[in-house]
Amino acid sequence: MINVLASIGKYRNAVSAVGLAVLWVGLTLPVPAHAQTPEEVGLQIAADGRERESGFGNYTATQEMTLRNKHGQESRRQLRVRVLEVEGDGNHSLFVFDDPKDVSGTAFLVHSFKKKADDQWIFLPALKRVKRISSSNKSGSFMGSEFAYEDMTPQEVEKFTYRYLRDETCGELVCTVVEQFPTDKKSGYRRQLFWRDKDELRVMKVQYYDRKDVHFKTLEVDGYQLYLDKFWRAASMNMVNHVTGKSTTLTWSDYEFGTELNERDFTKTGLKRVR
Amino acid sequence: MANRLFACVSSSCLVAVFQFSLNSAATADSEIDFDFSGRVGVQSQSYWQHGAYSGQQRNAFGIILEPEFHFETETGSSFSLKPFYRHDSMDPRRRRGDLREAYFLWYGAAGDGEWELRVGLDQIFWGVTESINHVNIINQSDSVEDPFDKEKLGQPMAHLTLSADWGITELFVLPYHRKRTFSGLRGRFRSPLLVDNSAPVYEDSDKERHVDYALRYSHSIGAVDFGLSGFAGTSRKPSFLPNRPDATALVPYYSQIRQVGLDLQVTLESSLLKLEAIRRKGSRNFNSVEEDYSAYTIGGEYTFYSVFDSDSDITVLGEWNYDSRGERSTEDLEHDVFAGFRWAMNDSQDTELVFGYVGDTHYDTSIVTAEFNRRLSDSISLEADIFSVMDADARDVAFHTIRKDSYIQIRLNYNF
Repeated sequence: MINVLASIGKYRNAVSAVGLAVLWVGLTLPVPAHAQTPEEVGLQIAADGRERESGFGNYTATQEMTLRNKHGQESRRQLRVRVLEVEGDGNHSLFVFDDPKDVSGTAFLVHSFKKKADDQWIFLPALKRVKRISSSNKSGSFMGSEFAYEDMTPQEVEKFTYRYLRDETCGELVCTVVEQFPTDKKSGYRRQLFWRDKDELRVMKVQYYDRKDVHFKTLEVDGYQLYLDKFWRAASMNMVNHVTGKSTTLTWSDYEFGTELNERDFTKTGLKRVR
Repeated sequence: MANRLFACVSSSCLVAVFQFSLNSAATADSEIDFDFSGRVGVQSQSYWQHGAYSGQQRNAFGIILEPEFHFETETGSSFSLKPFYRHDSMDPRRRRGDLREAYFLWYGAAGDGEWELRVGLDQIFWGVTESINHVNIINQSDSVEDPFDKEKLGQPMAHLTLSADWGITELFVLPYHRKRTFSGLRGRFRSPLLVDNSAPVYEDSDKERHVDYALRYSHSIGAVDFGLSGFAGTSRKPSFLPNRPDATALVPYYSQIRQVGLDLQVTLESSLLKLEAIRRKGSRNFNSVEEDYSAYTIGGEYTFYSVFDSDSDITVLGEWNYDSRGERSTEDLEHDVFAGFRWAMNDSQDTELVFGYVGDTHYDTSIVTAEFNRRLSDSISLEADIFSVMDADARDVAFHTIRKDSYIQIRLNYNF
């Protein structure tokens, strides 16, 4: 009688994994004018980053997630990601699950907005049902991984405050370190620390602090490649949870820019057609 | 069986048309993607009481095959085929096949929007509520698969969709009526008299070939998703006549009906508020007398995320069902409350537990259901279900006839 309920929750808020690919690149260097406070420098970095990221049009990619528990046991998920840039507002994203097979064909549609909560729909192929779902879950685990929903969502500049801390070496590069505070009370974080290389402005590392200000997760990003001579995309993102000992590796592949995707593929009708 | 014959006839037709379609596609673009997926399930069902009617068995073992084939050209045109077959040890009427889906799909730009055409057998779901979907009228219920009408037979149709900023408009032409399926002598979820499905009676002289039409307009505006629908044609739900001359079985009677429906969901942070309402004309009530009626389901769900600092989400659900015919209703839920919760653990196995309760506010009827789902490996998943009739008032005929049909069911699926 209520079998419809099963299998909806686990994809709830399956939001733009895309946000990761986009977020980690292209926040510009601070230009520390003398009058600027560290807060203003941080905000400037974020605003420049948004500017620098715009203009990609659309792209598709494949994402493989490897979940590891503290005993080293692994499980995998695979999904395809399609993103459409929307002029003057948040992006539209579509996620199609391929693995595990019991959720194969399940798809999510996310319409992101700069100033309000996302609109999200899920397509359940067994029931041929499209369901509008809530987008208010921020801190929960995405697909059982160490990534929270808010890690996967495009992070709009206006939804955070910032503080520039310092420059320091990161591997062979020099990075800026910026502190970022969510204004959304539903966030599971008190703050995040971002390391970005000074030359290409790519996010190399993020430390996550929970509401009690305990540093509980660290993300490391690798394998950047340049697309369309402008957009950096990472090949690998590794998130370690220091409290549980669990970790998740996200591997990106098959990036394609300038595809035939258009607005019609990101509607409820398009969602029912997804393969 | 006529169902199977119909399915076979349709499939050979469709294959022929598809070959034609492929050939013409090949002249433009020879690339055709083929995708094969699906699942195979084994199922064990145990009823913990003897049946209310003679002949009914207590244990059933089943095998379910659900492969899926998909062909797609480079232009996006496609053909999807989804056969279904079940073997059941208990009830021969559950040993049967169907084509759940077998349709061609074309689409393209139309002005600022889009057109889409689907032709063949397909499954259409309309609705937002969980306990019953009044507005969901396109497909016939496969009642031997699911006594609560969630499983549907493939419906032959031409389905045109036009969509743009102003919303989505859909037109359906439905040229063939599928008969509802019913349990046999040894099966559960049946009335004391068996249904003789060999010669159903139709109100219209065109019988199953009466052409039905349906129309739907739907849109999303901010937090609101809604749909307005209309249907004119042969009822999917039959009433019953005694067979002649000796009244030893029931014969399904399919009326000509007209229905308008509204489905509405408002999504507010962690809450979903839902309404489904219909007005139906021309159908027969429980006393086999024609009676126009209205029915609605109103309710919602609320989710508590990451409860107790864990990864678990808990969703609570509540719905109220109303039918203006009251005790003359042909629906199971005519003045019933539905309440439930879903516990999603959000672990790597997607472990999930769902509880439901249905209680009648006029009669002493109450039902409890429980579902457990967990993935055991990348390809194997487990489903366990309990359905339990706690009380079934003799005046509440729909539930009284199934008062002995509480069961536990375990199903293992191999997904590929």
